[in-house]
Amino acid sequence: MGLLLKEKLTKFVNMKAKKKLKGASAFGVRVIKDKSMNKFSGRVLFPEKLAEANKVVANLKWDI
Amino acid sequence: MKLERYEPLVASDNELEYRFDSIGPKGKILKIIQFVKTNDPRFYIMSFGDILPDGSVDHHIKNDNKDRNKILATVAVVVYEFTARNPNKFVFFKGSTEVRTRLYRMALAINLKELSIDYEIYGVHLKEGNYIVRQFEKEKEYYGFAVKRKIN
Repeated sequence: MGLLLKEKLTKFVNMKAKKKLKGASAFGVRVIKDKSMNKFSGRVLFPEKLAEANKVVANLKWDI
Repeated sequence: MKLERYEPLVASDNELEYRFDSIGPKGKILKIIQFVKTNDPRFYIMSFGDILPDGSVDHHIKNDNKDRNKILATVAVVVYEFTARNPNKFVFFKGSTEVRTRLYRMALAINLKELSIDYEIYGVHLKEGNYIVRQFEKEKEYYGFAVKRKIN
């Protein structure tokens, strides 16, 4: 029973590892969190770009 | 993509804003990238510009710091980072000018083989008020682009 549980856990951990997608670290690039960046959060820095994008997503037609 | 990139990337706590420093003949220029959810929750818009000395941002500015490819490669890494955390979201982007949109198209085209391993890549055409999404093709002009991570 214990062995079965261990196998299931290993399978779960392997699945999780497999699903981890590569981010900046895969390219050797560090990401540092800095509180000074939070002043940009919660506001739209480029409102005209967002307005443009909203127009796009409202009128999207998929042709795939 | 064995390209030169800027590092580190400096992120906000919510990981929607990223900053890096462009270094060149014009000195150090702060670049910022922001991801914002659109009215369609599947789509984020990625916008990119400079942080000006007064703290405001500008995405029209042309500063010619002779590091265009390094900047593009760094932006690509930021998209990897964002989409690794938000794999089910589309990232829509276009240039602030037609020239910049063409530059993005060229960057996608040059790296298409490698990018296609990790991304679904779409081109968006503007036609009679509709935005037609098609599989990205190298030789075509587009209004904008959308990418989404492949989850295998």
